Amino acid sequence: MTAAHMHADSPAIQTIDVRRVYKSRSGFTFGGQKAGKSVTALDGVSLTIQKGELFGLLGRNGAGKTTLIKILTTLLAPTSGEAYVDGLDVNKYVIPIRKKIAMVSGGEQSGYGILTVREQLWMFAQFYGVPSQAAHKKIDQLLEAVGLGDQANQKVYALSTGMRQRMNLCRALVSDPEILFLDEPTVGLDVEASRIVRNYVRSWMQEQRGRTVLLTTHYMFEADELCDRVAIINHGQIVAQGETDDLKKGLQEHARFQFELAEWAPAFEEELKQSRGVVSAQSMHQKGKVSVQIALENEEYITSAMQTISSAGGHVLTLRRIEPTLEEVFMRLVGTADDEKSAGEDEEK
Amino acid sequence: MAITEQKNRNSYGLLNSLRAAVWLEWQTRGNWTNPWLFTLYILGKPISAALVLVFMYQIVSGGRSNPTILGYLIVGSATWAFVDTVMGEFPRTVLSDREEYAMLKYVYIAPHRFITFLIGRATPRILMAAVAFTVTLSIGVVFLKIPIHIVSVNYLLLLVTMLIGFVSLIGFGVAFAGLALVLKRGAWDMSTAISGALYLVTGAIFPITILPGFLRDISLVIPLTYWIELTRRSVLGYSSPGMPSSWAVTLLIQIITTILVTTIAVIAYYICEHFAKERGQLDRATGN
Repeated sequence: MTAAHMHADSPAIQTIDVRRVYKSRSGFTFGGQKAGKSVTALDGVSLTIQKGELFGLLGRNGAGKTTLIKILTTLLAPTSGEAYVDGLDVNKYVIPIRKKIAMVSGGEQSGYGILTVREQLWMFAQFYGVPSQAAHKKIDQLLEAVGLGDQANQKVYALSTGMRQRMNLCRALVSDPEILFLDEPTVGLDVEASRIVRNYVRSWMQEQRGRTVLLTTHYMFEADELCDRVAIINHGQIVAQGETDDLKKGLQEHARFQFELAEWAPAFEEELKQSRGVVSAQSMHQKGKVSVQIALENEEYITSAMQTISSAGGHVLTLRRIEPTLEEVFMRLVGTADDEKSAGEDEEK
Repeated sequence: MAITEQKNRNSYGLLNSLRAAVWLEWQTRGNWTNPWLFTLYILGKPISAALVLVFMYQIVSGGRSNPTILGYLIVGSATWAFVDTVMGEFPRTVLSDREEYAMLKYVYIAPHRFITFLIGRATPRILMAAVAFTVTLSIGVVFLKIPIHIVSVNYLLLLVTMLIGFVSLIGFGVAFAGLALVLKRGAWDMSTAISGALYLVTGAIFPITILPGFLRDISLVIPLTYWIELTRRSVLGYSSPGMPSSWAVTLLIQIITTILVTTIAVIAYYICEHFAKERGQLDRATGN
């Protein structure tokens, strides 16, 4: 089977039990902690990302996100396991894979400072075989889209961090990749620059079907806003993956609601706690208003809870359902994984 | 631009990458100042190096200049400009792109062989060294009266030995670039150290016959020795002690040693690249 045949109906990205161990004679500091002379950055990572997905890989610093991206972009060899990009083995089909991918890393001051923005982008277009005229047209489009139209002829060294990162996004997109790897692309950027990057990534995905993005981030709101599916990685292992809504639902044991009441009487809370289907009820007084958070066995009990409040003389001003955030999902899963690990370590001791 | 359109692009690879890399080097080397200062920068080092040798020779000889020895020194020194300027460019490209520009990983994952990019980056240096070579020889002829007669120079031999010499230079450079991939920031000094050692053993400023036996044996397997010798022979018209008297034999040895050394160098590069990828060193900046 040739490389050309292998990627016809393949997932955009697939990893099967990928492990990566770094070794050093002098020892490592990994993820901010002293890690000895070898460290397992990836420990049996299996992921499948379909074409057309914007997939988020979430994890703390040192969780293994960047290591996985390095393997998939042919910068780093896996210690064991299999990794495929568009059906092509990263160990065997290096050049065919590189024709399909591009990468942007955040938190770095990369760029040939002496070149202008346009020159830098043109040069990369040449590396990817884009004809010069088409490259200039594409560069104009990209720079306008990310708000760098006026900086086209400015030297790279004179750009701010945010501008440089937007230029790097253009650098990755000038070759029109099929699969884009974004490694914490908004880290260190201000609100405006982050928003521009996120908006452009979203519109780039919508421009044409089949484009795929693997985004690593530790900004949960960014993943929540952009991603179709996410995986959470901790200590080199995938601890959860799926659609963001499913992960949130999976976390939620009870349906949670919040009332805002016009006035308060202590009896409300007691009445609610004894009401059918109510698991817990808690009142809070804030800025002259009273709000009550309740947890129900399931959402059908909200009607009876409302009736209980009304019967006790309460007047409900607002009612809203409380959805768990991705951050809560992340903290629960990563916290749990860490707790289990430390519990295991305690047992071993 | 449609994905299908991208798939149809078949012009990836050698020429585009090479051209862009040449252009990049020219921009980064020449775009930092005005043309006059840039010219002075190109010429300053080789001319000073040649003049230092001449003054040293004048002192040692007590002012009794021998045009044959002066010619030997000047042509060797002028040719060495290529080695000094081009060979060190390869590891310097790796180190500057990794440590200063933080661009190595992006260039590395572009759809070309990284070796192509490295060769492209070194190519403008050949041009810069050629200018220095010509100017150094011109100074030698005009001011030091070395015996070069423009009409009697063997231009064909000069061209052929130069082209083969560039191949061997690229070979050495590629191997050093490979080493720079697996070494830390201190590798800046590596090419200077190796270049210094080669300066000693390749007959650049004195005949290899005065070297101890084992060093002479080393010099006989280095293609640069034959390159410098044939350059001298094509320009000055006479051979150096310890070298074959026939230019054809010398050229044949240059070709054979170039093929051997370049093959070993490219293999060494790929071994180093493999280790760098295995160890995760390709984008690991070691400065700061």
